[in-house]
Formats: sequence, structure tokens, C-alpha cells
Amino acid sequence: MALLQLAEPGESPQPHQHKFAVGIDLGTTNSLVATVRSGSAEVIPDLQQRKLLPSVVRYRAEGVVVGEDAKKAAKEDPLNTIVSVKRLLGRGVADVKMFGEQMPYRFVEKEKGGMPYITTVAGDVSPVSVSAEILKVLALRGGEALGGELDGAVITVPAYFDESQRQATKDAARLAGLNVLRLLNEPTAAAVAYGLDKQEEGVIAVYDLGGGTFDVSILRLQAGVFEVLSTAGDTALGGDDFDHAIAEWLIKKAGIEQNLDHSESRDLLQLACQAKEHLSDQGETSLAFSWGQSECRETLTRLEFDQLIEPLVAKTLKVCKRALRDAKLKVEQIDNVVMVGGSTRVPCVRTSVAELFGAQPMVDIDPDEVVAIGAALQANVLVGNQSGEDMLLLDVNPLSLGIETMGGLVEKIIPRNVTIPIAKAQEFTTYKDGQTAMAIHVLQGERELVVDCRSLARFELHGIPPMVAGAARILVTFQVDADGILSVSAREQSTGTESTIQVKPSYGLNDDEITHMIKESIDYAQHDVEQRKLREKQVEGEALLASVTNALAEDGAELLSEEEQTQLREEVKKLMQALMQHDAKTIAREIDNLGNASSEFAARRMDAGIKKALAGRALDQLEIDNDEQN
Amino acid sequence: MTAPQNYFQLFGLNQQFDIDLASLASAYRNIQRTTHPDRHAHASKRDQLLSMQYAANINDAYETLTCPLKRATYLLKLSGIDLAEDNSTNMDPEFLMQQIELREKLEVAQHANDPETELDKISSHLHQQMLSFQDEFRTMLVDDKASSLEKTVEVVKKMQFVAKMQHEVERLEEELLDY
Repeated sequence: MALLQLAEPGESPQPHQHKFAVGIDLGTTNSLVATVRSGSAEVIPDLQQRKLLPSVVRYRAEGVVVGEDAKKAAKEDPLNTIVSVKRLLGRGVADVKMFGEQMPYRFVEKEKGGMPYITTVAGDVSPVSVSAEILKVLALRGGEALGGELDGAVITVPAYFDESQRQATKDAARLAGLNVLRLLNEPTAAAVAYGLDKQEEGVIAVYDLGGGTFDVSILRLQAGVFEVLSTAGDTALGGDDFDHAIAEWLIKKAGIEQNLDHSESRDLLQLACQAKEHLSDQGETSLAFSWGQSECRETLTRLEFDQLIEPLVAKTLKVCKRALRDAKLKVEQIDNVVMVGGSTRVPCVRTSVAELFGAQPMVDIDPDEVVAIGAALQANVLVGNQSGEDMLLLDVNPLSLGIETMGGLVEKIIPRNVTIPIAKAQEFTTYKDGQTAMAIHVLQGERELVVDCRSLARFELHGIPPMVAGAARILVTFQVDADGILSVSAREQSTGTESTIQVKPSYGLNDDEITHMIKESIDYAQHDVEQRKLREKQVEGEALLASVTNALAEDGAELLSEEEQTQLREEVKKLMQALMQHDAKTIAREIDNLGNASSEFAARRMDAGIKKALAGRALDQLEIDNDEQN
Repeated sequence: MTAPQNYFQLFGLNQQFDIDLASLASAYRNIQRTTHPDRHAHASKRDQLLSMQYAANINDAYETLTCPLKRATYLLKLSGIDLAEDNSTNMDPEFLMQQIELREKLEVAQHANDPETELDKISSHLHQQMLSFQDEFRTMLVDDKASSLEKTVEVVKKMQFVAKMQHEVERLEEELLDY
């Protein structure tokens, strides 16, 4: 059994310092920021006490407006006011066309097959930078409420977001100057909120219908472990579609034949959205709309509305059934259903969900706030404010990942719904004699044919020694990290020729573009770019220093020889000195040196941790056995 | 990485086909509580990377031991037989005939009046087959004569066949349900 460890005087870990962390729900319609203060998670309101920030960004020649004021301008200035930008995030021009008239913007394709930019009076803007504007406002709100610069943020994404959409979200956060602690799936965040705040246990289904996306996740909650059993969804289905259904109904009913202009379309959609909201607590509502020289007034009853959205609701129920199937569970085995997202306020949605699961859905935590609250709770743990020893979050990969093989088929390497992080490797071979290069095409999706899946990246492995067909052995490894982000590497086994890429989506930005945009953005023009780089290195260096000194104090004597300890302390001293010199390059060099010097120690600590975890379990088992004997 | 490479050792289990899934699950969770990237999110970048590699390996180990077929394949691998490298195709002809018949049944089932019920029947038949092969494998392992090794390999290969067919049935079911 391990002995109790006592730190040497003066060597005890640094006194606990409270860090500033927030959870951000970057939504299609509204966004929120929440944090944990004096032990409880709460949404941070703006100065007018408004908790929801409309996810609307208006570009003007003289600057950017975000939120309520931008939303109000959507009708008068539709082309420069971007709403529901989340629907465009990580998508290509072809995807955007699928939305058709729903997105009344002027799109430009800057490079073939690249992401769509929107033309505004302030120039062409990408969905990533529009999202970054929303994040900046939330980060500022969080920083002001906490009284300092943020140390980190957890940002939520729909569980069914694909690789490109996740990357794009992370890029937007970087652009907004946020340190992303984790991308957290929205339904999982909601489960964390219910699990930690309401001590919910058992198997739960999270039904998350937002403005533009739908997710369902099935989780087992038990003693602080949040295990996602399956997730399914539709990233192009949400409350926005209810609005469109009402708008189309009105167009038909009032016999509107001419094409509406951008301003009229925007007006019609806002009208439809209001009607939808009224129908949540009223039996009927009236819509008055004017266009061109004409106007109309129509009444919509709840019954009619229910019929309009029935096909959409049915679609969500089908997705729920698929999630149940993937989790290998029957509907009776679900203990509770949690409702998330503003669109679950629609009565017909609630009754349909209740009917499917045979249980009254839970709405104890506000469906608009629950995701941000869960994200704040996790951010608080990840940043190190709370030990988090009892909490374990096991999430899954939502969509299968694979590579193209002969005949336009997809060979799956990582199936959907496996626990992340995960790494899987598979061997492939050449098909021609003397073949020296191999093209690797990375795909995401459930279908068998390449054309039906989403293309994530293409890269080539060169330098394969010429051999007869089928003799070369190329090991392709897929790795998905805890944020659900993929990296792929390929290696020829006999020569060790290697090629690695972090998959960068076709519809995103590359690193240079991001750095360039950060430099260009007005916020940073005032700061010195060098200064910022130095600060980043200092933060990284301090983190490494703290982790190595703490580790030395805790386990140094046990896991390292005297000599190894002395060597490591030597490197620690060097990094400390470098940190005092205010030179980014020197600090970077010492970070590398200390990192190299401590990597063996880090691995030994990890191994020791595993042993201790097993020993603890053996002890638990022993106690249970004793109890049984007593 | 210096973690114990043997998955059974990793979770503190005896190296055998019959394992207690509940203690495997609890060992898995206890270990992930220390290795998971969430526990290292505020550590240095290098430590974060290390934790991701450990956690990925542990997830893979857990998956391997949880699934009976993967566990059996892994046990063979530990005794020096890598099925992925084994290309020999000499299988029990009777078994192969059965498989061909099943495949034909599957083809017919798709076009039946009530394809779901037909697929259900095939699915439960496959499940029974899988269970009986598992029993066979279990007894063969206990009876560890060198002569039975070849037979052991054949049983695992049969399990692979069945698993492939099960996968096919699932795919058809999903197609029917239009997922």
C-alpha cells in the first residue's frame, strides 16, 4: 500500500489560485456565457440583465454590432446583418445552396471548393469570423463579471457536428482570443448540469432541439461518471425550420406570388418566429404582413401549426429511435428525458417526445440555459478550480471515419459511437507494381460509397520503396482527441517513411489565415503582436513550471533517482530564469528542454497513477467482501 | 509509453476468456479517472498529449476485452497467432455451406412481405451460433494441448464469419428503418 506522502517544507504545491473560466453556449439563435461563482453555476447577464445574447452580427462601415441591436436592424439592413451563422459554420458553398432562399446573403467563393464568404459593407466576412464576433462579446462579458482576463473557456457544439464544423468552432474561438479548454457536446453539457446540480442518476436521453440543430444523446449517469452510450442528430434541423414552415404557409394562404425582397423575407421570418412563440401558450395567433403594395392578416391555430411541423417533429423522433438502437436499449430502459433548447418549448414537441419515451420530459433547468451551465461546471473542473476527481466524462465519436479504397468504397477505421479519445490503425497495401506513392482520402459518414460521405482531407504518402503490388505495408492511424478532432498519419512499415496531417477541413481556415486575421483585427492592432506572443509563451511556461514542480514535490522522491531529480531541478531553474528575461524565443527553448527532460517522469507518473487506481479498487473490493462477511 | 501492454494486466484481470465484466468496467473507470485528458486539461501541452495517448490506449483495451470476439482474437494474439496476418482459408466445409445458405436466406428476407421479422429470425440464429462458438472456444482454451491450437484458431475464424454476417443484418435493418 502506498504511504502517505508529505511534502518537504517550502516545497509544498503552490497555494491554490482561483482561475477565471467560463462555459459558452454558441447557439444558432442565442448565445450565453456562464460561470461557477461561490460553488454554483449561473448564467452571466449583460448590464441590462439580459441573459441571452442574440447570435446576430451586423457589419457597418464604422464597426461591428452584436446582439439585440443587431437583431433589431435585421429588417432594415438584411444584407449586412448575419443571423443563424452557425448554420454556415464549417460548410461549403454547395451546402449553403441547400439552404436556398433561407439565407438571404450575397455569398462569394474565394477559392474553389472553399468556404463561403458573405459580402458586407465592411468587406467579405467568413462564418468563422462572424462567430468570433459573438464569442468576443461573451468573453468580454465573462471577463468583466469575474474581474480579470479569462484563463479558459469550454465551448459547446452540437454532438452531431462533424469534423469541419468542430474545427471551425475552435478556429472562431482562437480568433476571439479564447483559450479553449474543451469543445463539449451540447447534450453532454446538459447531462452534466442535471447530474451535478440535480444529482440525476440512471439512463437518460437528452433531446436537444435548438434554433438550427438537433441532437439526441443517451447517457448513463452513475456516481459522477457521465458515459455517453450513443448520439445521433441532424445538423440542419431546428426551430428555424418551424419559422420557415409558418412563412411558407402564409405565402400560400395569402397568395403571395411575387418574390419578396431581402428585407421583406427577413420581416416575414421574424413574424413567423413570433407567431411560433405565441403558440407555445396560446391556442391561436394572428399574423399581419405587408409586402410591395399589398398586405394581409391571417390567423394560425395551434392545431394548424402542429400539422405544419409534424414532418419535422417526426424526423426528430426517428433520430431518437436510431440513438436507442445504437445504444442497444429499449425505450423502456430510459429512466428520464431531459429537454434542451428553446425549440422544446413548442407544446407539440413536448407531447411527441413524452409519447415516444413514455415519460414526462424534464425541464427543471431552463432549456435555454442548461447547456451553458453544464459547460461552466466542466470549465471550472478543467481549469483546475475543482479537483474533478469524482467526475469522469466519457463522450463518443458521432460519425464514422474512414478512408477511400479501390472502387470508390469507404473503409471505416473508427466507427461511430466509440468512446473518445481513440486511436485506431489499419494496414493497407499498394495495388500496382513499383508504386511509390499512395493517396489517402479521409472521409466521414455512415454510407458505403465515397460520394455519399463527407470528404475531410486528402494527402499523399511518398517514398514507398518500389515493390511488387501488395507487398508494401502502409499503416494508417486515425486519432480522435477529447474535442472530437481528428488527426491522421500514414507510415510505410519497412522504411518508416511517415506522413502526418492534422485534418484541416476544406471549408475552414488554415493556420496562416488565422494568424493573419488575428494580426489584422482591430482589437490586436493596439496591442503589440510580439507582446502577445511573449504573454502566450509565459503562460505556457508557467503552466509547465507549475506542473513539473508540483509533480516533483508529490512523486519525485518515489519515482526518480537522486540524479534524475537533480537534473530535472536544473532544467526547472533554467526555465524560471528564462521566464524572468521576457524573451519569447528563450522561453520557448526552455519549455522544450524542460518538456523533454520531464517526459519520462510524466509517463512514470501516469503508470503509477494507473497502479494506484487499481490498488484503490482492490481495496474497495476487499471492503465489500468484508461487509458481506459481516 | 511504458504502460503494461497486456490488456488483462492493465485492468488487473487474469488472462482468460471468462472475465467479470463488472470488475472490468469498474477498473476501467478508476483508471480513466486518473488518465483522461479532462484530468490534465490545465497541465502542460506535453502532459495533455501524453494523457490523450494513454486514454486512447485504455479505451481501446476496454473495447477489446468487452467484446467476446475481440477478446478471443486478442487471446490468440497473445499466444502468438495474429489472425489479421493469417490468410489460410481451409475452413470446415460444412460450416461454409451453412454460411452460404444463411446468406441466401438473407437475400430472400429482404424481399419478404415482412422483412423485419425475417431479419429478426436470422439475427437470433446468428446470436445462438455465436454463443455456441464461444463455449467451444472456452473449453478448448482450458484443454490446452498443442493439437487443439489449430482448432481454436478455426473457431475464432468462425466467430469472425458470424460477426460479419451480424453486421450485414444490422446494415439491412438500418436500411429498412431508413436511418
